[in-house]
Amino acid sequence: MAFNVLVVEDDRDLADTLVAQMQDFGHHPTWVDDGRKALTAIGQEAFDVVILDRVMPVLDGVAMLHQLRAANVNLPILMLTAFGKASQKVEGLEAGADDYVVKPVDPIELNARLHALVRARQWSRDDDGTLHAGDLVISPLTHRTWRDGRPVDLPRTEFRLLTELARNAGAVLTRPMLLEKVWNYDFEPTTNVVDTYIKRLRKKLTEDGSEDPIVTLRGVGYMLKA
Amino acid sequence: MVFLALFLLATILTGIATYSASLDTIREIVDQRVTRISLALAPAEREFERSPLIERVETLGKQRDTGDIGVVLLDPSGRQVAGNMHIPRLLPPGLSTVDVRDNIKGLTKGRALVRAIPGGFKLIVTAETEPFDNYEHARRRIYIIGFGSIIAVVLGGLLLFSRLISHRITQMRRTVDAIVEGDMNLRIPLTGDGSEFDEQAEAFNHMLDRIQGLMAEIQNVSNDISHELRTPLARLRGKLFRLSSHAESETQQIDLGSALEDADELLAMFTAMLRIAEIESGERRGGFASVALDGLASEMVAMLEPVAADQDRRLLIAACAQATLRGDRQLLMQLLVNLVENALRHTPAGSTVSVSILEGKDHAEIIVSDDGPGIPAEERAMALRRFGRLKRNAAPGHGLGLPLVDAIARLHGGLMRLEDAAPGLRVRVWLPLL
Repeated sequence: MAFNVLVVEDDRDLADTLVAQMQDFGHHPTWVDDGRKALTAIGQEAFDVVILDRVMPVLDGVAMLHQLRAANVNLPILMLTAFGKASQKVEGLEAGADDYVVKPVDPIELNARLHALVRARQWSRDDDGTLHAGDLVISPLTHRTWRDGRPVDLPRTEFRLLTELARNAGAVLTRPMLLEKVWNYDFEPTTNVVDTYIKRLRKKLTEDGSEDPIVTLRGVGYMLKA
Repeated sequence: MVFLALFLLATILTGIATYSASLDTIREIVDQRVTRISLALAPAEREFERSPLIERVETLGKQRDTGDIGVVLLDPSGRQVAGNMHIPRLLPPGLSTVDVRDNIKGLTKGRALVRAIPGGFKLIVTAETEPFDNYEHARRRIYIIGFGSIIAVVLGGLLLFSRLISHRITQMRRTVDAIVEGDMNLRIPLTGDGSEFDEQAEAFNHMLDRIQGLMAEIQNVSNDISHELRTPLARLRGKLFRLSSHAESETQQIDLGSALEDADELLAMFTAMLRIAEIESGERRGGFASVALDGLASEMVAMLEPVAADQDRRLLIAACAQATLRGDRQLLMQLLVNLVENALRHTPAGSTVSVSILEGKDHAEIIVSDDGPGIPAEERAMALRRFGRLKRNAAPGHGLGLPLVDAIARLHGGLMRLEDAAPGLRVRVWLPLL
């Protein structure tokens, strides 16, 4: 899927890298170097997603976010920041950022996150929040899962993992993304927690001999077939 | 001590000297008085008529204002012919000392003058050396109280002074101890009295400022290095990934895969270093909230139990007391996860790792023990150092796990200690409850 990406970054080198990476993934990036220009660009062109630097001259990332959200612009926004500012992360998310990534960003990770953000805006789900992915039906409300009409009994963590994969069915979720969303961790354990739980989830989903619905992308993460 | 002994000796000697000098003076005055009276009764070198002399003696003996004076006139046969007292003892001629033992009525201590006067008579005049009864006692008391109070004041002063010194030295030592524990922000409190101690403390604090400044510089350099290296490393990883996804042969795929793992390990190492730097900056204290340690531990064990089972190890909760403290939930979770991962990594298959949460009066304790090979006492300090990997240890890991735990414990005002679980390693993390 190709996106129209707006890159808002005052550091020229970093902006060049980001633009090149977006092109590598087949996206169409547009670059501006401050918040005010970004607001103008958003008014003129339809973007799918925005990559926004936290610290910028003229109008910084958080201030710009406040203005956008106040104007009811519901564009998915991924914020970039220097390492280790836990308080900034909270501030950014509270200002209305959809995701928050620490520099330097692994391009694959960044791309996966952009996909997840765009997809999150297009969730196909029923009124009661029930999710559909392939032959899987997941009801977060009643905490129940069905495969091809047959109920699958999942423990809590496996259920949350499947829910997250289903919300992004067809898109890759990286290990850090899963740790953040399923386990609420802002750190990466050194053991393969994610892999272990994926394995358990797979075992549950394929107990009746049906096909494995989870795809492993080596060095990237996991994807649930849509 | 020597000073104290000398001081006591000098004070006692001064007391004795003053005491005896005052005794001598009094004796001299009394001697002059009895001589004057004796001469007044019977001027020297003159003949006396017997009866006027007797009369003079009797008159004097009855006078009130000379009540402490005793006179006795003895005739040549030694018989008392006049006088207001009786002296049982034969006193030597000239001046002598008399006291209670002489059994003279109304006299406790005094001086006597025995003069032979013409006509074979002996005139004895006595006078008290004590202005009132038991003066001797009173005098001793005065001396003891006087010099005693001097000694008491000096000793008290000394004690107070040494207390003051030891108080300030203790303050300094506490500061040093706390700095050794890692709190470089502490300084020795100043009293503002401009004393030598204040000057000393100020110099010490200046030194600490300087050391802290230098340490911050080193820290910044290493943080900058970690930060700067992350960018090219991330690029390298990206390139390796692209190559591996277009690998032509299986061997190439395997080689690139292992190169990718190396890159990931390096990135994880820098992430851990920057994480430690973030923790040590104390910035996350601002986000402290109430955290239930017991809940966190059960959640962590439930999460890692399948991972442990995958690696053929047992993970269990041995004790779980209710303990709630103020802290950073994410960091405390990372602390628990790191300790258990560390235990899983450094034990052979079939080992058991147990987690306990204990609660004390003012602190909570996290204990993670295993029944693996443990760490010999002499290598424990090394295990706490950054990149301090043990010699015989072939287990993977970047050597930052325990330093990270240590940093998290210290951010919460706590401590971490490694102990022998006999067999195995026991890690104790002590956290204040507040």
